[in-house]
Amino acid sequence: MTATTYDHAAHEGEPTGFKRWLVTTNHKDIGSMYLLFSLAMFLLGGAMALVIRAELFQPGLQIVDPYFFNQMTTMHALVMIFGAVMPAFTGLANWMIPLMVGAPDMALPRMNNWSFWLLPFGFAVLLSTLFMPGGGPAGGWTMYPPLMLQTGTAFPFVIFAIHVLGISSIMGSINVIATILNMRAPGMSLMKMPLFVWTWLITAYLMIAVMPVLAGAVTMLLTDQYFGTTFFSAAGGGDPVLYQHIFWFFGHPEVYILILPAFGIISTIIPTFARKPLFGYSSMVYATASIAFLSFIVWAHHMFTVGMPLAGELFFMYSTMLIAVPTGVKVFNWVSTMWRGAMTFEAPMLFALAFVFLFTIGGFSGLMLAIAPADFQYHDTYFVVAHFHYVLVTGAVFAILAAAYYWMPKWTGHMYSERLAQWHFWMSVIFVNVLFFPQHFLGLAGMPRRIPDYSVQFADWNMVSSIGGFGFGFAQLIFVWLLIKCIRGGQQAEAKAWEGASGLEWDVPSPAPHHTFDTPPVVR
Amino acid sequence: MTTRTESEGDRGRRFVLAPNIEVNWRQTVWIFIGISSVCLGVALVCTWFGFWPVLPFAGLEVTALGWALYTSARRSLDREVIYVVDNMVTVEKGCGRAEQRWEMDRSWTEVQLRELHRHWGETRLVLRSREQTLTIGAFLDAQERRSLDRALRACIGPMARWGDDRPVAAIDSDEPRASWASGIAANAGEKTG
Ligand code: HEM
Ligand SMILES: [Cu+2]
Repeated sequence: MTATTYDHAAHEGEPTGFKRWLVTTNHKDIGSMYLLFSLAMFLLGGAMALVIRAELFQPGLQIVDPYFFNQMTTMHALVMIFGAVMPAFTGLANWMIPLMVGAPDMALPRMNNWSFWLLPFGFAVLLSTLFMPGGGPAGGWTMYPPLMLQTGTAFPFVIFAIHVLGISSIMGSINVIATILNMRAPGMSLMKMPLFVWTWLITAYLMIAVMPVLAGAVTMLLTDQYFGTTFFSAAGGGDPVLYQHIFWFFGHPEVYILILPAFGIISTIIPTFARKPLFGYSSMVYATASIAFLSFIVWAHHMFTVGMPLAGELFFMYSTMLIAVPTGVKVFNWVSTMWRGAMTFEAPMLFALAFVFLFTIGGFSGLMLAIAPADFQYHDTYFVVAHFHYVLVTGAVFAILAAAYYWMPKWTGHMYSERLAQWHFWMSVIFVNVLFFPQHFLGLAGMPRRIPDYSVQFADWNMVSSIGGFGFGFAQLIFVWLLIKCIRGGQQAEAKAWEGASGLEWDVPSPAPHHTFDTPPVVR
Repeated sequence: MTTRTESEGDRGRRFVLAPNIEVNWRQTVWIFIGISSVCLGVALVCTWFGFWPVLPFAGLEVTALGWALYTSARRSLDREVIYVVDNMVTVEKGCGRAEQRWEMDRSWTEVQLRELHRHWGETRLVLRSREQTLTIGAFLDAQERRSLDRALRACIGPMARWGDDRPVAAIDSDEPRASWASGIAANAGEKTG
């Protein structure tokens, strides 16, 4: 036998224990790590929210000092957005997209490993700023100058952490795009892809388009602070309002990055439990694409009060309202899918239904905010807080929970406890509304956001809201318990865990084998 | 994956293994152009307003995306070709063209289907000849690998029947993606993969 090279049994020397997780390139391992990381961040960000809600339980200052309060609002938002919701979607993408398109793995497994490990590193840096002289960032997640430039020692570390988290999400979305475009099994044309895959493709597109803008914006903050530039400083000819334009040019598409994969999840779950195919597949794809397109031209609806020309106010008002059209198409299609379906109400379906109802409430309050003259009243009040939490918590987070219940049998090989799941669901829906609905009233009555103390007229609803917050937080512990139980055992799941489910992922056994296919060899 | 087996006259057989992906390069290029023109367009507008630091980030990102799409698309050209002809087993691996080549004695070579990892039931198909082992069919799924194992055993090794050209079992479906488990898109014989 002549061999130019010969390969040793690479698998047999595979690392075990912690090292295995450190170097793994398997999409399922990485998906699980993303999901667990996201859960940890959800609990941490939730704990920060409860610090805020505890302080706001009564008027006056009781628990924390105002500066720490501001650090909590800022960190809570950064942790929830970049630590909980985005990584959860990336984790779902890692686990499900290869299974759904029939690929052995993600297109670039080694890069995949990197994009995950940047996250804990980035968050270690970000969270460590809380212990630095001068404390963590306290200017809100929007980081507006000049306020943000008053951050202490933490400032460059915050910017660095944002860069690291940004690189991580960029690498994640590059991988998703490459996987979807180049790893589909023969015969799966774009218009045959599952909707979750479609919504992720469009999400990744948005990320690629706007992340450089965020990176540029925070870099300019850094150079303004340390290198004498004056991009955003009026004293040197710059303009702080232009920071807001730049930030929201990133920030508005970012909120769609946080919701589009959720649309994909709901479009997967509702047909399963209604036992009917999704109504209007192609209109769903076009609606998602139009939402993504519109998200580029509406950013200044966050800035109606900065003093724009009237024509600008009108443009951003109408373009924002236009988004209601494709969103309405989606809601219509979900409802039509359920129409005369044989529905059952297991936990994934319950969360999906709650999504459709409550996300719609968030959409309507968004329409109210889009009315420029009315926004002069609502701006920076608790009405805004209520609005975006309806969208982000009962929207993005509920969709993620729905997805977790839906695919948990595929991941763990076990059915979760439906009884606990029902408890989790009902506690969550009830308390989330107790938590956020009264905030509409607070906002309409004029209570400003991002304040640790308030006028006594707001006392009652704040107390209700805080009770809701603690109830909601407690409810999530049921989920943690359920998850641990499900990983450790339980009724064996069948390959097709749900009667009405369809899709390639249900053809592989539960739990999905470690290597559905093996990684294609890299030939050098 | 697609596997193609052909008889080489009555002296042996040839197996062509390819990953189970269908890259539409033209579509990929168009989508890449779409994404990068939006991304760079945005960055140019920012630059126009004096915010040039956006531009280098956009440039880096588009380059990374292009690189990623190119490298991953090239994988679709990965091939493993196994010739079992006369008294020789020849394996060629490469991307687009044969880049590495191994030769073994047909009667002294053993086909082994190894079980790995207690929990996951993975397998790996190995050709072993004297001290050396060569993994083949890494991009096949478990069932396709088992089938290839059976087909190879039938023609490699001292006890093998030479020139057995029964179709490779897992790969006998003409209908691509009839189901996940029964082996995707493959054929035994005439069609090109
Ligand atoms: C677990 C339940 C949650 C509770 C109890 C909660 C509570 C709060 C509170 C009290 C504030 C401060 C409002 C203010 O004073 O301005 C806040 C702000 C915020 N939250 Fe949440 N939140 C929760 C979940 C989430 C999630 C899941 C997300 C995102 C995915 C999120 C995103 C934000 C954002 C972006 C802000 C604005 C921060 C700022 O003003 O800069 N929250 N949240
Ligand atoms: Cu917006």
